[in-house]
Amino acid sequence: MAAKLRIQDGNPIWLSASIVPSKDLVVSPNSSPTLATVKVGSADVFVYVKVENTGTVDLGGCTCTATGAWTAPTAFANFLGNTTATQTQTQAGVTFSAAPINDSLSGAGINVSFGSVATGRRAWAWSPDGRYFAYVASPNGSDWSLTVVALQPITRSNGTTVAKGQTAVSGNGIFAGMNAASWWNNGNFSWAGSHAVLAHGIYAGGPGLSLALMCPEAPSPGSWGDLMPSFPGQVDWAFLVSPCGTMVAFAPKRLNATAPPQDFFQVSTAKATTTTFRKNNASTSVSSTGANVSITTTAHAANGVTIGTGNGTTTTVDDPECTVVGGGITVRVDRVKASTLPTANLGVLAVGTATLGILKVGASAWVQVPNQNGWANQSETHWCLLAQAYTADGTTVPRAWNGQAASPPAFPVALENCAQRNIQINP
Amino acid sequence: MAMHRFKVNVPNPTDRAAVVQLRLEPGKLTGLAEFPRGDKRGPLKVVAAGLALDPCAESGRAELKLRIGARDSVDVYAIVTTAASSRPAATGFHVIDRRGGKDVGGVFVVCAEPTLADTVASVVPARRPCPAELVDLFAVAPGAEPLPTNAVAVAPGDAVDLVALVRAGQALKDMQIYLEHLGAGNAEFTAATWNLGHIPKGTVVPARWALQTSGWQTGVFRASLVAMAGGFDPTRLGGDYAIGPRKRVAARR
Repeated sequence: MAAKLRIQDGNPIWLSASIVPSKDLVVSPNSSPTLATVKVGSADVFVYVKVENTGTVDLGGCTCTATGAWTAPTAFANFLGNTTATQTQTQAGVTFSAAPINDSLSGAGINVSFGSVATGRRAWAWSPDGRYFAYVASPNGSDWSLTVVALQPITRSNGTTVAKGQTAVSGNGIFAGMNAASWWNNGNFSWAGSHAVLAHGIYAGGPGLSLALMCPEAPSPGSWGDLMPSFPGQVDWAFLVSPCGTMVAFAPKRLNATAPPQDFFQVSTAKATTTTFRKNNASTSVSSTGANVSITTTAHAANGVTIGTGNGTTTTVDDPECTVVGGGITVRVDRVKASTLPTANLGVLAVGTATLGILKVGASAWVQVPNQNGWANQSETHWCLLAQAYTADGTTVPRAWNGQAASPPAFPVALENCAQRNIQINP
Repeated sequence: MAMHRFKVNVPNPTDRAAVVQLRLEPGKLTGLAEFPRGDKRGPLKVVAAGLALDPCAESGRAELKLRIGARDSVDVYAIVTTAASSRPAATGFHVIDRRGGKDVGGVFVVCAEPTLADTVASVVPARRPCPAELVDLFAVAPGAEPLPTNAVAVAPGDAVDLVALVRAGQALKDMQIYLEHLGAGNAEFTAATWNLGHIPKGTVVPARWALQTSGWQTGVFRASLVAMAGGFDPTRLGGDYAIGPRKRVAARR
């Protein structure tokens, strides 16, 4: 899977036909413009740049392709409740060892010591995708302390990184329980997809349901928590994970007609914050009507999610995973005075930038780049337009050149996603 | 006769001195075929052409060999003398830069008699334009509901959400829309594509983009949005937005 963008070079290289200054108003990015004369005072000349996706992955679209019913989290499979038990598990070269003195996680580049557990009460699980290991232990019985360890380098949603073998997120709390029989166990902790660990239990300080979501890919601190009112026998909660695991929904099950209505809500695992349901991009709320609640993604678009509110009634909301997809492709054009090499030694002037939303494999589009700085020619009629295309995330296809940096190097015209064209800017 | 003189910079961006061989070659007619539409020209007769280091030279040599110091550059002059022409005519030359036995770069210079005329803009239609219409473009406070009643004026330095209300002219499948650019304005926006799905005919749907204006620029600028739907060509929708006065930034397509 390779991500590649191309702006076709010219023959000779300084006359790329994929960079066209034009006054045309081209209705469709599928159509090509015609060349315009550029004058110093021109205010209506765009630079059209033809960008091609020559890689093997679509760029700019929704990366989540899975649809279907939102599913229940997977409870931790492993639990020990006393100090004398020992256990060893290995997965993909990483070994977890539970021992009376010290629990540990080890493997290539991973050496984590969890210490000894006074109560012996601990639970653990690998994430379904194998990228994380979650471990929870209790010093006193009803309290819990959870750690999620990254088993490979992780990039969080805000671009920060977590090194292999480091703690990606942690959390703690206290659930109700007076003795070992009523304290928490592995059933209180579950992997919500592979992007969050859900902890839920009866609140220790009074009536209520204590909820926490630890999200290793959210910006620090990466955890969300709330205390929900408790209506025993009237309202229960279903936890539902979106097809690509970027949302965890909390769906109230109304167990009888007299139960108070409660609203559905959802937490983003990329942000560890609640996210409003939206319908046609406007905020909306969804209340439970019965016990048979469900959520199903039918399309990654507005109104692409169907919520069963409990009594057979359904409503649609915008898909929170992909109704809006950030990023796309950035096309940037700069210009330099005519020079046999596209160097920056005579200074670089920015022309403008534009965005191409989506570009599928093998497709091309003419991007309309506005001139944001005018066409002053500094008494030199011959100039060279320098165009580059890169993905807005800065990593999939990196930006090749920053002409606005201090002492920029020569424009890397040899790169596939860079091209140049000589133009005249007449007085 | 007319003399055309072009200054061409020859740089050496490396840390070592470079030996550069420059030569002047006529441009192929195919290279001249992309003159602005309607500007039909015949070939311009060339009397003499050459390269020189002297900015006042009236002639030059077909080839020039230079030694350029590290991180230095030299200006050379391409001098082309052409015969008078009773018809609009043009010719072109490549100044080719050869280093280490390879052509590594160059410049294309154009001699035109008379000077190239200003181009007239035209609309290049789409074969099957997406029947979507931009009915309103306005700003709201970040995170505010995308309703016209929430529209706010935009002042320099503001962070707002730019909202586009788009109406489907007919039932559309798999509709998408993205903001291509903000025209000559220097505000920055967070690029995103909205997947609006299936839209019934006549339905108006909102899309929004976070926008950060600069601290000093004011004016009215024309944004470009691109609407896409199954069975149609992607289609640009233009809309004006204003930065400056404290009034609603109403705009029409």
